[in-house]
Amino acid sequence: MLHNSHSLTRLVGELKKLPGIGEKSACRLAFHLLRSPANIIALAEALNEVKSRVRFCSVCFSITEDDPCAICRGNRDDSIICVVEEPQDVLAIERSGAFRGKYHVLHGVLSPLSGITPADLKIAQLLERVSNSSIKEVVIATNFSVEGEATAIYLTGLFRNHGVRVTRLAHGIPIGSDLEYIDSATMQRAVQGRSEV
Amino acid sequence: MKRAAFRIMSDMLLNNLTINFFRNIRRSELHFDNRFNIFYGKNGQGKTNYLEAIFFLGTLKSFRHAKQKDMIDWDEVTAHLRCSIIDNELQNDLSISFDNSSKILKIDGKSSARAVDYCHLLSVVAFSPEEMVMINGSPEQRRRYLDRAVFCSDPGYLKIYHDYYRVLKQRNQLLKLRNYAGIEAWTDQLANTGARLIHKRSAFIRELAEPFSIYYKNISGSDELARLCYHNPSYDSRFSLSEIRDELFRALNASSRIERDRCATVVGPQRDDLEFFLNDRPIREHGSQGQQKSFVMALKMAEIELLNETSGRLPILLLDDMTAELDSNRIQHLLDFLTGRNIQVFITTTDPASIPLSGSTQRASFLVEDGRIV
Repeated sequence: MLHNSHSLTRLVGELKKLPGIGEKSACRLAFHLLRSPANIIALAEALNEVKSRVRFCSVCFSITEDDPCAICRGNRDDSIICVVEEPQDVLAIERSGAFRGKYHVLHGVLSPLSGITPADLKIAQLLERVSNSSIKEVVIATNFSVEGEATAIYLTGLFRNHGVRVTRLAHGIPIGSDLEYIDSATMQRAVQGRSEV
Repeated sequence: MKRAAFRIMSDMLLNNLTINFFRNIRRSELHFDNRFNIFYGKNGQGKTNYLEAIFFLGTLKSFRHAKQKDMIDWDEVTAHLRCSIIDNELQNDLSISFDNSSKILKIDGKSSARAVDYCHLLSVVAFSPEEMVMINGSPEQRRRYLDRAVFCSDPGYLKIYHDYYRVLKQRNQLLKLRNYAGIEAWTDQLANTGARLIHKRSAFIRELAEPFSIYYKNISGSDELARLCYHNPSYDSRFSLSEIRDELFRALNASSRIERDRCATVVGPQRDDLEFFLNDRPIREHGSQGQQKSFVMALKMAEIELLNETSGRLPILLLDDMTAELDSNRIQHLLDFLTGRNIQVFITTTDPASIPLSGSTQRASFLVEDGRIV
């Protein structure tokens, strides 16, 4: 189908590398872009700009255009730091407005099967931050997967002798959900982790 | 999947079954009796295939541990199974279409992606000659039995099981690569998830113990004491969750040198076993064929009882070739028990006369020849 346009084939090939995009979706996107030249230029510019301007913050390793990032420079609580897996997690917590401290992005979780050990994560940098500042509490907000939990345990062990308080996000029943639709594994953990009111 | 909120004695019923291209069954449509359904015929005609189809509809597995590819008619690519069940007066249609590698599950004509949701609609307990590996087979086969049985009575067990084996795999990878960075976290996590697994397993076995020994006495018509225990050398099953966790953690740390030599985790529930005793002697070495078969049968009955207690449901029972190796007394005891409960039973046998059901007992009989009902 695309054999008469090398550049179109290339575009489809590039689009196909994106997560969730297969051959058909890639074709559809490519033809859509072809039909609207203005969009294609805007998209190309946006991609270029992202590439040239967005980088990781040298302090917290979240994404930013100015280094250090707005959160690290901002007027936030210096005594509490929230450790997350990925930059998206920072956005999720920021959206809630519930946390006023600073962040640290690990860029992954421990997973020997994927070849990821502590040295592959931003753990040494985290340790340095905690040692050299007035941080009193480390909130571990890795996901509640097997790997996220193992990473949380690892971090807890690291900070044991640092004189900081280590906490973990609570987990259980989502706000506004009906008990009857909760899966049994979540329910079991929620009952085990119930708290005094 | 929700558990029944109330303890209603609801008998699970399999009403009808349609089979296409399943093993040697090209096409078959059956209507079942609410009580006893007997498939009879010569050896090698495909009687067991009918039970296997029912079992597969309920559990998405084969009780012969066959692969999907082996369960499809040789000349075909896809096999189809469909049945309608009644549970607590609610009728559901279940269907499965499967090829070598994938399957499509439908509940009442709607696609259902999650096997967990599907698997609790039709509860099936099967007893087949293959189950005897529980006594004579490897610890792994006994663990597989145990894990499936615990899962049937407690859906939350599946997550605990998957979590544990995931952590184990991650940890073994570190041992294999001889890269021990961060291994303490995995050890800790292994103890946490492993303790939950052990706790569920041993609680299940404890609950099973009493009905089990009673059923054994009933089936065997003897006073022999049948006992099973969940064997783990490093702790006692009466421990609480946190005690099990601490004990497992200690055992893991104590074995760290050995596991570094062998490049794998050497203690934990992945190595546990079930032990079976008759009058305090291991039944594996000391039991006769008949005793062993009665033993496994009593285990199945206890499982049904427990399932009924925890979920308020009574599963259907599949008995493959049950008359072989059981003497007529034991068969009579078993049938008396089944007649007394409201269980729907599916039996295969070469000789229908060997099943001494009283004349008034409801039943349907199916003569199987070359995969067809004649």
